[in-house]
Amino acid sequence: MTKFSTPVPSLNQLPVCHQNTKSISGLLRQCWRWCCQVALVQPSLVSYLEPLIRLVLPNFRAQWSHARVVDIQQQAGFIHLTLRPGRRWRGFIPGQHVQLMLEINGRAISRIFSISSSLQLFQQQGLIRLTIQQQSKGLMTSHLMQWLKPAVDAGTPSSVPVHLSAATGSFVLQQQQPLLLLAAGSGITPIHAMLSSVTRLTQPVLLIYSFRGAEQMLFAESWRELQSRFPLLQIQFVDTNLRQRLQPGDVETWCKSQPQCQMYLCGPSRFSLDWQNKLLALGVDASAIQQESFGLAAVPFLVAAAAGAEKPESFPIEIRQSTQVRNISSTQGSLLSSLEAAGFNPSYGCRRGICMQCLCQKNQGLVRNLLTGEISDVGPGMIQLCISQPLSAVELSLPSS
Amino acid sequence: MNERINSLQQLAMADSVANHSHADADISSSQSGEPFPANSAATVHTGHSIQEIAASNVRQQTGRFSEAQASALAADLDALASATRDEVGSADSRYLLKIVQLQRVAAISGRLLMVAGFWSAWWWGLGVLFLALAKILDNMEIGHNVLHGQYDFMNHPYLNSRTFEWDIACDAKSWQRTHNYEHHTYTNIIGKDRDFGYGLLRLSDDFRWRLQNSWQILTYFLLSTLFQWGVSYHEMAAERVFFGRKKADRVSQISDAQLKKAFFGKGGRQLLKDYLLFPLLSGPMFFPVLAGNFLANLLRNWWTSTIIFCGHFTSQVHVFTPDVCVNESRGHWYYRQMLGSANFTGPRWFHILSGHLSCQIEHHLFPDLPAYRYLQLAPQVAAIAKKHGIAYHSGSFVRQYLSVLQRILRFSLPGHDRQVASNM
Repeated sequence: MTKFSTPVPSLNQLPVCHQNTKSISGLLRQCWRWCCQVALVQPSLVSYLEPLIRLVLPNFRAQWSHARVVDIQQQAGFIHLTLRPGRRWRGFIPGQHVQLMLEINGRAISRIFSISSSLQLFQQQGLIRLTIQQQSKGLMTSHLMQWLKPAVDAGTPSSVPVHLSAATGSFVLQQQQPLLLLAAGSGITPIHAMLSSVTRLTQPVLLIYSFRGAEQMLFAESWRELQSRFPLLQIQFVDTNLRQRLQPGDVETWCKSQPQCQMYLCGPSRFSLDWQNKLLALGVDASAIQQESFGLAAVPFLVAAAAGAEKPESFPIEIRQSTQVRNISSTQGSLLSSLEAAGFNPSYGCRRGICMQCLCQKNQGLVRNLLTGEISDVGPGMIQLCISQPLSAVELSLPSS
Repeated sequence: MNERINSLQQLAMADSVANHSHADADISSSQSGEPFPANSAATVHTGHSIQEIAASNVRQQTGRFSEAQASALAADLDALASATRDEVGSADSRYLLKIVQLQRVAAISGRLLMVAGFWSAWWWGLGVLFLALAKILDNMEIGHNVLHGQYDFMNHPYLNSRTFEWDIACDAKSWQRTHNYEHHTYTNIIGKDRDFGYGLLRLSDDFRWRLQNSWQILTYFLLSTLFQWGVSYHEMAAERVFFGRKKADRVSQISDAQLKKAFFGKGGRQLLKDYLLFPLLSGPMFFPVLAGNFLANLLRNWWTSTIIFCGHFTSQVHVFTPDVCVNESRGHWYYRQMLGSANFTGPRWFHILSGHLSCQIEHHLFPDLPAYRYLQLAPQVAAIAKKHGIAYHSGSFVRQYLSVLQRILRFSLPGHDRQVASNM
């Protein structure tokens, strides 16, 4: 019996397994890709043709879908961005996130945001909404407000092209159990997408939503409407300006009364981690907890640095290598020496910033270029390990050795 | 031939100590036009006749470039780089896009025109030229520069130095190791920069003369004809994968098996593409298309090798002894890059087809700045060179190329002086 139901996304991107050589279509696909790579010396036919397609469709990008900006609204530190994704975009499951990409001064700047609107909005009107917390020094949000907002207001939103990646993420509802949803700040966005996509609810759901100050509360109208529609949905608002933060005691009775409950945590990384530990301490099974965290450790540091705080000696570095993830802390000097001190063996050459042999994908975090003093963008980008010094927590992807 | 160098180094160091008194003033005279300017360095007491010294012109250059001079030079060049880096942005990415578009149009139309050779051989000839143009653009202005990481600022999914692959027999990663690392870090250091003579040509008296050097002008033409395979085999030669004994002091981060896989994998795919896949796709035009592809590859080989030889093998450029890179400061590195490279002039299209390697000096000073900026940087770099009394080697393409041929011929014959590399 389905306890609640959400519409099934029609165009949802199913995980396509290119390595699947058993099926004939998989084999043919692999063969086609190989032929393209041999004939064109490029990763795919579409990436080979992209520059030419751009002569006709300037907003075409091989690995992104173009999206039209329909509306942009500002609400106390948040931006609501309503987009109409192009036909190449393949839909989403509520709770998933997308990468939003803007080309700022020739640079592709991308950030990950959860989709905050319902699946119905996409299915009926072809729209999705992203709810973005404004960062005081954020490159992306300031660009949105500075360039995109005036363009939208003037009725020429296409003058600032916006691109989307396919929706990804496994932070989605499983349609079986009662739910406990804990959200803090903009962590409410995927949960709003989940709940507002629900069409029938037959099991109790408790949502506890923490925010700082009443004006920071998102989707106020939507919550009222959902509560009137679904008697089984309980929502508790925690305004941390008025009362103390949420404590384990607040959810203990719920956990006891609903032993089959699935927990969903979404908020800044510290919130999600804290609550994961607290729930485990309450005796909740780890497999019942789903969590999604966001927010960069970088931003608090930038703010602290602006306030003249002293730079910490060492930052956590998360290293992803094929399927493994390892955490180390940075030492004095470059990231290359930190990695080597921790036993990694990244490739390198000149060790003085000339040869690009140690070039590495940074997924997030701030680094300073020791040669030029340049400070990187917080989002994804390429860095040279030998001349990069971390200024925040950093996440790197190393090629598998 | 590199094995012989160690003993020569000993000699080199002993001799160069005696030669430190070369005046910096001599340096600027070397740019005055003559390929082999007779100059006052000849007055230094080394016991050789003026002709000999003038001929092995590398000798004239380097007096000691002091650490203070070097840091002043570094400050000027760093300031220039940083000002240019601030300007880098959408203009550069638009430029790269335009060049890639041009490359795609040339490649597609070239391959189609060759098939149209079915109706008229003129179409076929035009197709060959277009395909050669596409390959030259792909290798020089796109591949070389993208693989240097010049356009990494764009965060582009495939026009970046980590994932780009080019239409040449050489595997991009292998080329990055030998070119970006060895050649750009140890530019023109005898025994460390294998690009200096490619282990085939004797371009300075620091190398022992051997019989095969007497016909090295023919070796050069052969290398030029097979250039893409030379580039592709370059790293394997350095690692002594098939021939020779491993060098004890060589640190390699990659195994011979990986090298072989990359060499045969990439080379095989290229052969498959040009000599089987596209000819098969052209049906009855199989053989004309095969021949056309061969010709296009040949034209590209000649063009790229000619351009590349003009960058470091003109008679003006300096070579260095291996001790210069021990604890080398940034200023001295800059200094070495300026003396070790040569520019040539020409119309705009010529610069584009050379991948802006016509601005070899700017490229060697700032290998990670977009090549699109080099022409704009050139006069400023020349001014800085003048200010610091450093030679700025430049000349017309024809003059530079003749001077390369002259150098190849000159060092075909044994020299009396076995040590000419400067040790700064």
